[in-house]
Formats: sequence, structure tokens, C-alpha cells
Amino acid sequence: MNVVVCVKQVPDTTAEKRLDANLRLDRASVDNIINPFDEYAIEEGLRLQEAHGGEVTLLCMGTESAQETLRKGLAMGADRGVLVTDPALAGSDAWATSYVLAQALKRMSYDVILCGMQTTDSGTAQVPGGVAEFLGLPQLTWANKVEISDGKATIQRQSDAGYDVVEAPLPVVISVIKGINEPRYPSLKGIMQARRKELQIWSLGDLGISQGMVGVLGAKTKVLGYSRPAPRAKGQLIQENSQAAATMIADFLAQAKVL
Amino acid sequence: MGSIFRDTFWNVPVWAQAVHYLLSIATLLILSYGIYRRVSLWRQGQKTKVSLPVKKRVKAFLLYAIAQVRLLRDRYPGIMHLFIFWGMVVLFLGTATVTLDYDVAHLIFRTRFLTDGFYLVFKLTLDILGTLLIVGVLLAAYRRYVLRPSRLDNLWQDAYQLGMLFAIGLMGFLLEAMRLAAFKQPEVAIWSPVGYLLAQPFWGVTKETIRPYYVGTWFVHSTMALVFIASLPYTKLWHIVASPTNIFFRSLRPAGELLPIENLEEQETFGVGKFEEFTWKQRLDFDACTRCGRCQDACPAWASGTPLSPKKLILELQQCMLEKPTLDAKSQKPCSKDLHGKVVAADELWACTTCRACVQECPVFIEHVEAIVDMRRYLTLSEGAVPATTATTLKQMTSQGNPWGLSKNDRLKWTEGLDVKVIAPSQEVEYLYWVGCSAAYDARNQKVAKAMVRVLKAAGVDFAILGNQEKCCGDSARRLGEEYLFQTLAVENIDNLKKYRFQKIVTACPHGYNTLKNEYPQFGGNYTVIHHTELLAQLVQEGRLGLSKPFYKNITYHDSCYLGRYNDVFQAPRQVLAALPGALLKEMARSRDRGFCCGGGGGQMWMEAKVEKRVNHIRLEDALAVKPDCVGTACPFCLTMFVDAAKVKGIEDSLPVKDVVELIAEALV
Repeated sequence: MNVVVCVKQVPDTTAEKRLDANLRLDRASVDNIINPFDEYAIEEGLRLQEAHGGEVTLLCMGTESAQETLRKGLAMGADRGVLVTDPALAGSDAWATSYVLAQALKRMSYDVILCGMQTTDSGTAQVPGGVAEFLGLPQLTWANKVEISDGKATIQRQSDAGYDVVEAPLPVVISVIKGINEPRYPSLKGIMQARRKELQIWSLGDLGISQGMVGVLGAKTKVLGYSRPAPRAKGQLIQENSQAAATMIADFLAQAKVL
Repeated sequence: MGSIFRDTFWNVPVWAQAVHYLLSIATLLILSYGIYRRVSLWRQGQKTKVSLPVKKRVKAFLLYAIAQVRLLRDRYPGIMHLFIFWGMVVLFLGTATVTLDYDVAHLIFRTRFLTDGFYLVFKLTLDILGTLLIVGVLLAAYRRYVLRPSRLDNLWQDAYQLGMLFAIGLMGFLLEAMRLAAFKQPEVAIWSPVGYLLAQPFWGVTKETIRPYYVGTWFVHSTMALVFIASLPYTKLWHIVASPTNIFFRSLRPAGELLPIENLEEQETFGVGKFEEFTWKQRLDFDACTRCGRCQDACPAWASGTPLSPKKLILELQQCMLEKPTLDAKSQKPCSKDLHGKVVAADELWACTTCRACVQECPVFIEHVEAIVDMRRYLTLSEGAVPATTATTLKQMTSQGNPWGLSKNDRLKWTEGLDVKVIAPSQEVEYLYWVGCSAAYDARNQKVAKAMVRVLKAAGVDFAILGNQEKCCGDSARRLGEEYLFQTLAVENIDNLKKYRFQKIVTACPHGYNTLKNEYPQFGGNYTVIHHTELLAQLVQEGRLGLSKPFYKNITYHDSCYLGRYNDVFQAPRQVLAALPGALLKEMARSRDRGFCCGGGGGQMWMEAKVEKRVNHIRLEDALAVKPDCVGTACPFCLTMFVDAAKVKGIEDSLPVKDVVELIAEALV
């Protein structure tokens, strides 16, 4: 069973993010890391491989520097990596990204396509669904448990109240949430083996995608402006004896219509 | 020839003497084969360099192998062992003297030297030491089979060893008694007081009656002695050779220095994944273990109910080595069981706090911690099999240069509003204050850093900090077996330090202190590193701190493992606390080199302890036993562990836990 895991390079989550003059994320001035949600997807892919055999391939759309990100995933144990990179891709939105990944996937062998539930930079959570639509595949999103048997995938989809059990026939696109597993620690042995693993670089031309479909030109969404979120209001500190404090807390909860 | 001499082989017929000599030759052959076989086992280990400052080694050998001062740390077994040891040594030398006197001097040169006054003193000495041997053996048997301390396990070898010593010793006395009774020379007999006493019942018996009993006893006695000698390399008696050898070859490196993996990126395997990857010195370590269990008694991991017992671990490895030995020194005979999983469980390895109490207590200088880290290196570097929570910690050290994963750009946040000088290439400072991750990022420990700044300023010390360029020192990473991350961090830190001029580094963290002082030299970083308690002691002594306000009366000081046991800094923090107005230092039962770990070292800080009784809770009980008004610490991990334990017990308000420098800052005028 072959698994493709979609991964993205994102700015370090602890770094202060800036937008450039074109209202696009300034990726050059920050350290980049692998999208943390994708680590769970890679781990899940490796576990599927351990259980069912086959290959795990990583697929990434990004700048040249995203090779580092792919090597990180290869160090965890994935077999090979594919990077789709092209200057014309700059400014791609979720629609374009899904389209490009889908075109690349058409040239790859897969039974399961795994994605992190969202990225930590744009955070749209739209790409897994988009990829599934472009490929005409079923999508199982927000999985906190994945099982594959008899040609179908069964997941537990996290919801506010608990989880739903959803299944779909293979091939399928699955997005996983944080906490589905504990991503393995890349051993030094793994890091060194990763240096020798196959990493293909594909351009738009290789995929037969015209430049107008992607990047700024092909974007279906446009960033008009931005603002910082309002600082969170200060919490209310209750310093009373336990009886009075309990009453105040109960009143507060009643006001908020929680009780 | 004098009139008083030893009548060697008195009464023993020639055929028996002949049999005795034949058996002696057989004994020597069996002994030699056994020694060769056992030493071959050591030589099958990997190469490792052992420095040979012979004078230093001989001195240590006399201190630890002959005077056995480490054994005496535990009084009962220490004295018991000294009795047996000296009894055996002197009786053996006595036998050797008799052999020289008879087989060499008498038979070859027709003369004797064991005569008259010398002979009498000789007799008296042997009589006394023989008695000590018997007493020692009885003490050992009483302890082993009646008192039964939990750290001891009983095998047939223990009974064999004690039984043989007792029987041989007792029969020696009986022979002496019979000889004295047969010759009836009280003026000579008095020089063997114990033998003389035992001779009393036979005093009236004639020489002729004694003769057959004497011959029989002599034959059993001498044959048992030969069996004893022959069995040396095949039984626990082997410790008579292996343990002193291990003491002689003991590590002379700084205690806190783990050896680096050289050319890390060119290696195929990392750490110890298979038994054959241990060095010859480590094999000697395993062979030298006498199962005394002192390590287990001292081990915090064992006390807290984890599967790790340093004694059990070493014995499991010993077992691995001893199964089906081969004679070929070059053969790399694999242990039949997988080292990881079958011989040693990962849970055991990850339970170690690297507190070094086991190494400190070991009378034969086994290096448990080094072996554990070697095996951790395999798990981490080859398998990536680190405990779940530490995977996150190590990743955060990689990405942010601190174990908490807080932004590397926020390292200076604690200095807000403090006016702390960040070092610049243009100016030299006396002290570079190495803040460390805990003091920079952990809310509680930030108070320590602030107190440190206050005190250094009050004393007019010229200092600066490294600011955002400082990264995790890598101590936890190295002790978790992540040598790659450690070396990366060490090299980055050393490269950054190269840009600045400073005379000394001072740090409040014993882990940073140990690593910078003892391990950075491996990568070309040579600094004078002092711990803040050492600097404070100096400032106090020079009268540069005006301390007036008394705060706490009874203060107990908790020794940090990496400051105390690893680096012998015991006195400085105590001097500082003693300088506090009105303070009384209350020592815990386990303190100084016997101090009990807080539970935070060796990467434990970043693991979830799933145990019955956490190490820090045990240590808190130690502190509470001396009824202190305050607990003084000198390590950020110890501080965190103590505060956590106090919180769980609900006494965080009534029992303040403070770093030594905080106490000084509070007492400043």
C-alpha cells in the first residue's frame, strides 16, 4: 500500500511573522520549519507502512529551501520526496496549491494521501479537501485515528462533542489532527540515511501546468488588508474567600449562559 | 639452625607430601587456565585509551584496593571485609613464607630462616590474623543469612566462599592446636594464644594418638586450600583479581566528562547496541562487580520504584559476558540474547538520573552511568527511540536552543527593566554570566537570575551576559544519548564565545557548569568556569556583600549532584549560607557526596515519572526530617523539583525553597 504525505514548509511558529509590501508572508527573514501538523501525517503514514507495507512518499510545494523540510521527513523514515517548485508559484492561494498538488499526485502511486489538518502559516485547512476534489477522491478530515482494512479507510473524526466514525473506499485523502500519534524522533542514523534518499524536483512544466493557473495570477482569493488581533482582554481575578468566590464564579458562568 | 623452628610436614608421610605437590601443580594449571580465560573475556572488548600516570594509579590502588577506604563508608560490611581480606592476605603470605623456608631454604640451601624470635612473632601474627579471618567470616555469614539486607542476593557461590574460608581457617587452627599438644612446649605455644587455647583439650593426649588425626586433618586442610585457589577464576572469588585490577585501571578523567563519539557523522553505528560494542574497560567493570549492592541502596531510580537497579544492570551485563566464554582474545562472540530488550530494558536505561551515587558508592569503581549513556546513545541515535516527552524536548532544543521550545528571541525577556549588560566584542569583562535556559525561561528560575544580577551589582562585579546568542549547553541532550544535538550545540556555543573577551564564566546551573568546564574542552572550548556559589563564597569572604537582614533560622542545603558529587563543590554553598545573619545550617541525613538526587538530572527533567514514589518527594521527606525554615538549593532543576514536591504536599507556603543567591539577595542591606 502506497502512501503520499503532503507537507509544507512554514515559518517557525515562535517567530514573529511579517507581511511584505504585497501582503504576502515574508518567508526570507524567518527560520523555517516543517508544518507541525504534517509531522503527525508523516508519522501516521509510516505507521500505515509498518502495518501494510508499501512506500511512503513526501510531496511538497514550496521554494527551493523546502528541500530541508523534505529531508526532515525523510529522516523520520519516509522513502522518497518530491518537491514541486517554480518561481511562478509564488503567491499561490489554497485553490492553486490544491490544484498543483493534485496534478503532481496524478503522476504518483498512492492508496492513501495524508495531510496535516492545516498549516500554521495560513491556517485555512482547505488544501486536503481541495486535493480530494481535484482528484475526485473521497476525503476523510480531522482524523484522530486511522484504520485501513479490506480496501477501505475508517477514521475517527474529532468533533466538539466527541468523535464520529467515518469510512471511505481507497484511494482516499485523509487529514489528521494533532495528537493522533506521537511523531517519532529522527535518529542520527535516519538523518544520515535521509541525505542519500531520492528527492525529485518538479517544475510547473514537468506537470504541464500553465503559469496563469497558479501563483498570484491564478489566485482566486486576494488579501486586501490585515490587522493584528486585539490583545486578549485581561482575565478577572477573584480574590475572595471560597464561599464568596464560588458564588461569583457561578454568577459569571450563569451570565455567560454556560450554566 | 635455631632450636625453635617450624616442623613443616611434621608427621606427614612422604606419599601424602608427594600427592600434595602433585595437587599443587594441578591447581596451578587449573588456576592459570581460568585466569587466561577470564582475562581473554576482557580483551575481547573494544579498544579504549587508559592513561597511565603510574604513581597516581598506584596511590589510588593502595588507598582503595588495599586500605579499602570506600568499603569502610559502610561500617559493618567494611570492617567485616577488612578482617577477611587482611586475614587471608596474611595467612597467604604466611604460607608463602613457610614454603620459602622449607621448599627453598631448607630443601635447597639446607638452612632455615623461620626460627627463634622471628618464628614466634610470625606465629603470633598469624594467630591474630587467622582469628580476624574467622570473625570476619562469621560476621559476613550473620549479615548475609540472618540480617539479610535487601541489597544482597544469595547464590551458592557466597556460601561456598564463606564456607571454604571458615573451614580452611578453622582446620588451620586445629592443626596448630594438635601440633602444640603433641610437642608440649608451653613457652612456644603461648605465642599462638588461640591455638594454645584450642590445644588445651588434647594437652594430655600423647603424640602417637594425635598422629593419625593430624595427618587426616592436614590432608583435608591442604586439599581444600588448593581447591580454593583453583576455583578462584571460576567463582565469585575472582573478585580478588578483577576488583583490584578495575580499581587500578579506574577512570581518571573528570567525573562529569562523558567521552565524545568522534567523527560522529562518519559512524555506521552509535553508542552500544550490541554487547560486543562495550570496551575492554567496561567488560572489566562488569567482571569486577561483587554484587555488594551499595549502588542499589544509593540509587534514586531504585528507591522510587523504577525497574532500574544499577546492581542488577551490571550483573545482567556480566551474565552476558560470562556465558560460554571463548579463549580467543580477538573473537567477538555475540551474546546470545539481544542486548536491548532482552538483557537490558529501555525502561531501565531511561530511569537513570545520572546522579552518580552508584559510581560514588562502588568500592571497585564501576562506571554505571557511562555504560547507561552508551546504551542510551544507541537508542537515541540509531533507533530514535527516546521517551515520548523527551522527543519534543530534543526537537525544541534543536529549533529554539532551549528545552522549553520558547522563542530563541525571548532569551533576554527576564532582563526587562534590569539593565543587564550584554557582552560586546569591543570590551572585556571579568565574568561572563552564563544564564542557562532555566534561569532565562522558567518563571521560578528567572527570579534566581534576577537575584544573581542584584547580588553581582551590589558586590561591584564586572560582568555581562551572552544574550540571545546563548544556547542550551546540551547537558540534557548528551545525557539522553543525543550526542549529535549535544555536539551541534557545543560547537555553536563555543563559536559564539570565541567572539568575546572575558576572564571567567560564572553560572548558577551545575549542569551548564559541568558541561562547559569538563566537556567543552573536547571541542576546543577551554574556559575557567566557576559556579555562582563559589563566586558568592569568595565575595562573602572578601566582605564585598553587606548582609544584615536575618530571614530564616534553620536552613538545610540540598547538594546538587552535578555540583557536588561530580565536581566536588560541597563547601562553597555552605560557606555562603553560614554567612547569612542568624542562619543555622541543618544537614540532612544524606548530604555532601551522599546527597540524594532531586530526580531532575540525566534528562529526567523532561520525562513523565510513572512511579509509586517520585524522587523529589523522597528528597523532600529528607529535608522535612531536619525541620528547616527554608531549603537552600544551588541548581535550577533541584529548585524546580523541590518546589513541585512541596506543591504536591501542599506546603509550598510554609516551606520556602530558594537558591543560595536568592537568600543572599534577600539579606542584602
